[in-house]
Amino acid sequence: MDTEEDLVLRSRSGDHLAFARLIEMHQAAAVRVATAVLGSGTEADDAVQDAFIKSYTRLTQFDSQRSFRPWLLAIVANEARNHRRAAGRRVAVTLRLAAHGDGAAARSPVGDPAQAYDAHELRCRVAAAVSKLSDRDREIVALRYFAELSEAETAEALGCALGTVKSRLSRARRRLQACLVEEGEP
Amino acid sequence: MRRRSIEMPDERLEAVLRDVGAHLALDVPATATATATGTATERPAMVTTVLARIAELDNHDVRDPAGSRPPRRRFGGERRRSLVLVGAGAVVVVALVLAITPTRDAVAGWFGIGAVRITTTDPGTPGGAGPRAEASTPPTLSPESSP
Repeated sequence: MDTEEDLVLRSRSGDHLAFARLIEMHQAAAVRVATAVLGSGTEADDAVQDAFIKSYTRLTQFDSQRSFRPWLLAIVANEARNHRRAAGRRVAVTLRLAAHGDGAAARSPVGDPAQAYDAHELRCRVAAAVSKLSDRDREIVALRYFAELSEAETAEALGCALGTVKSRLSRARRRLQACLVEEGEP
Repeated sequence: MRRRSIEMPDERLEAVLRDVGAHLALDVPATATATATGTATERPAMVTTVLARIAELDNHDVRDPAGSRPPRRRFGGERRRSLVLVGAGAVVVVALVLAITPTRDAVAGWFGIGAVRITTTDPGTPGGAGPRAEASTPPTLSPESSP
């Protein structure tokens, strides 16, 4: 089986099928990050497409000793930011979840329908709280939790120190908690 | 109906956030495409679109493969031409500056002061800046002189 490194090397030499495999491997994470920055919709898909093309043209700049995923997601986040800026207005971000009982939700291990409903409601409320975060906070939350990068990889993707990532994540979580508590207050 | 507030420890919130990420609505429709071996496989539409755009880029030779040499430019290529223009401009600017270098009096006039003139005069000249004659020539007594 091809390793990611092999795929990158083959893509560099112009192998489109190898690059297609890379896209398939990282597409879901890329779309999640773009969605967190731009909100659910076709705009996120457009940004991801542009990011993949940009990453293909810049493959020669990629240091193959490093992990491909943070490098790619940095380009995705940057492209999504550019798309958001190009929109020219502060559009409110809405994160839409897959309908209850379909897609990933259907594969949820929760068996009891009541529990499944509670879990879905909790996800909806947390997603709504994430939508209210600042662009910066949403971006770091997306990289760390939606794309499941490690803290070190998140730091690499954002081009900042590990300590900075830790403190920014901690602040973002505190704001999320505050949103969730505020929502329930009269 | 008012929603109850949610408080949870960090670890729980992190787990829910991962869960939210996994449940985000991602529209990734699949499209049938033929592979190099001729077998049809299901590829997400995005992969197909991206590959088509990359193929276009490759046709226009925009990509910069590792170790590739830049296309040869004829003499007077855009980059070189602009460098020549910048150099010529710099020479003209220097020549102009040298040609219109203002005099000291003019510069002093801009600041509303008189130009400082440093003149040299012979020592002892009345009104000159040198030491006074009396100080520089001690009195001498001649033995022939009588009161």
